[in-house]
Amino acid sequence: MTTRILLIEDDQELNELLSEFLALENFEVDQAFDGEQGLNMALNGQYDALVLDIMMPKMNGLDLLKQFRVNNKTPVLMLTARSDEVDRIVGFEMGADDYLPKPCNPREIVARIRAILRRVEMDKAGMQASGSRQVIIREDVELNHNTRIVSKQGEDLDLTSTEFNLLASLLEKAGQVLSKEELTETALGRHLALYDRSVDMHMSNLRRKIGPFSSNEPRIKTIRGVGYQYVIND
Amino acid sequence: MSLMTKWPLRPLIFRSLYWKIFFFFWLTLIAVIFSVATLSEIIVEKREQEEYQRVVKLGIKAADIFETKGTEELTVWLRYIDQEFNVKGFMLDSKRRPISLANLPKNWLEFTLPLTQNRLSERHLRGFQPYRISSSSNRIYTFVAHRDNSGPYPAWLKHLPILQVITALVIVALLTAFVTWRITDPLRKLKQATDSFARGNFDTRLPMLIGFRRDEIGEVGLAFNRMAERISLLVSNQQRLFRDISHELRTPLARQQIALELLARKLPDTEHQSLHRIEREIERMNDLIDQVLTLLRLEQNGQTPSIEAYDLSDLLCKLTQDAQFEDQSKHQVHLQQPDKNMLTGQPELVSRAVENILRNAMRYTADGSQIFLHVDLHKDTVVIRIEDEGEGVPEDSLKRLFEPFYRVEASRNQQSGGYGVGMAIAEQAIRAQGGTIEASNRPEGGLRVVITLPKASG
Repeated sequence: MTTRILLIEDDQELNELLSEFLALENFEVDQAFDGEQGLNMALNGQYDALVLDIMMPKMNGLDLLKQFRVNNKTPVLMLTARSDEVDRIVGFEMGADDYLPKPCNPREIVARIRAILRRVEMDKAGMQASGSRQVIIREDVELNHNTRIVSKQGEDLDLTSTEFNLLASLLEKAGQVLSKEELTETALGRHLALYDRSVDMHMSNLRRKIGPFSSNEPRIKTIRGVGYQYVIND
Repeated sequence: MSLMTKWPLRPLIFRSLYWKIFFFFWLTLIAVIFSVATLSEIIVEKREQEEYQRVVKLGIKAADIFETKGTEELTVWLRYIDQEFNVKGFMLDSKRRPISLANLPKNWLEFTLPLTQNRLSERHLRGFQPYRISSSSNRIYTFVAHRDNSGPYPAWLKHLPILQVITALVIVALLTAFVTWRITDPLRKLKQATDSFARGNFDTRLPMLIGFRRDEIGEVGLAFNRMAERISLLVSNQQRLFRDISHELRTPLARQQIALELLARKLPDTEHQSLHRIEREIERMNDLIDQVLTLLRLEQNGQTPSIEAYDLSDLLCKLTQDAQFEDQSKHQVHLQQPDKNMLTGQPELVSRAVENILRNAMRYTADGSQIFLHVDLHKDTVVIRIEDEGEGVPEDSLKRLFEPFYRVEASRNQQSGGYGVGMAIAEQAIRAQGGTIEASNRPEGGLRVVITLPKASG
């Protein structure tokens, strides 16, 4: 089965070159050259992943992502301007699964796409796994692997799939400290890179969405130099 | 910073233009007052002379009338001159006995005592003044004229009373202070604006309060604003050009990178070494463009700063680990800092600054040497010291170390990598948070960079 990718990038030549490269890597690529066209194609076509540029005419990548995410969980790899951290943070908030600074090596793009796809596969496999793992309940938080829904005090939380994976990993091993390496591998499906703050950014979004315990203690603690921990609240 | 101590400081009172002008005006005004007083004294003196002559003339006439026409006519005459010449006087003979009863005051006896020679000292005998008269027949009389207290000149000029002098000085001081303030205050504002402009706040303008003045100082204010306008336009144009060029370079680089990868698929493996070489150069250019763009963004500092609380110790810990990993542990980094160190500011910028300095330290020092990272807490600031064991930097290059693309000559080769933007970025990043950064050579050799950060930057 071929993997279908939608490449949304306004630079015509770059789009062509990248499509050619992705095609060599056995992806089936559709091209969109502006935000509006991209959103239409993304909503109407059945894609396995989106590669999305931020700076685009008509509708920028962030707005596109926001509208696309309303009821769509297709993984999105975002291409951000290199030195623009603001874009990156906002991108994660809008629900991008991973980002790559642009310009970048196309091999890296392929590696990231594969990582995201691998993770989606893992999630699917996880869903079919035996019952005990399907629903995790800890205090007032309930995480359901089947529906991929997390609720707190009966209310559904709106988590991106990366945030869901992070929380799942943390909840499964609640009380234990998970390293950034581990979390990057389970949640992002790739290895931790140098100066890689992706997990930290996803984590801060997740923290904000899940909130603290009623005692105002944070649910997820940062263990300096090691990683993160979901606190068991006794 | 250190420029301030170039000249030995004289006491403020002598340096400040304010006090110079103040004393100048004050002393001038005091001098003017005193000379005016002296001048009027002279004028009064002259008048007094004339008055004396006049009264003496009337006295002689009175003596002559007495000698020729007797006491009764004298009485008539004395009454006459009281009415016509406003001189109220009485006559004493050579033995100082009253001749006529006309105008004789109750205290007339006092005038029978011998007169001293000094006319001025006799002047104020309760408003009476005796004049020594000799008649046409050379007989001596004394004519005593009553003086009107409301003289032709104000009394205070004669006495120069202390209280009035003080009052005058205070009033003059207040006026002078106001005038001086009107001159120096705009100058002070101009200095503040210029300083702020020099620090890189190119949108600094003088308040219209100065601009509205129509005098020379107002002109200076307007000229400053025009200059500021012009310079900030030039700077922003230059920055925009720089930014546009950087952005425009990036697009072909991105395409080139992909084209290169496509080519790599089509060429046999034997050619890959050249391709790698090209790839590395593209990567370098990308890095350089990144750094330039980062620098420009920091210089503009128009971005909304996201102030957050963060733990500096945690940040430095992670950063050192990453840097050491990247460096493949060729250098030993000693990190000495408090366990927890909560600050408010922009951790991203602090991280970038320290990272750049740390990387430079690793790049320019021999493998196996040590790098020290110390954090000291002060009352309102945190001081981060980064020291290496390299060769240091020539003294004359220290100041220029933070200029973009400046590199110490000896190290200007591609082997050591780096593009001379890292330190400039570090400086801008620290300055954006109200901190300072300084470089110096350690006495024991090696470079020391000291970052001072406010604990809470707004």
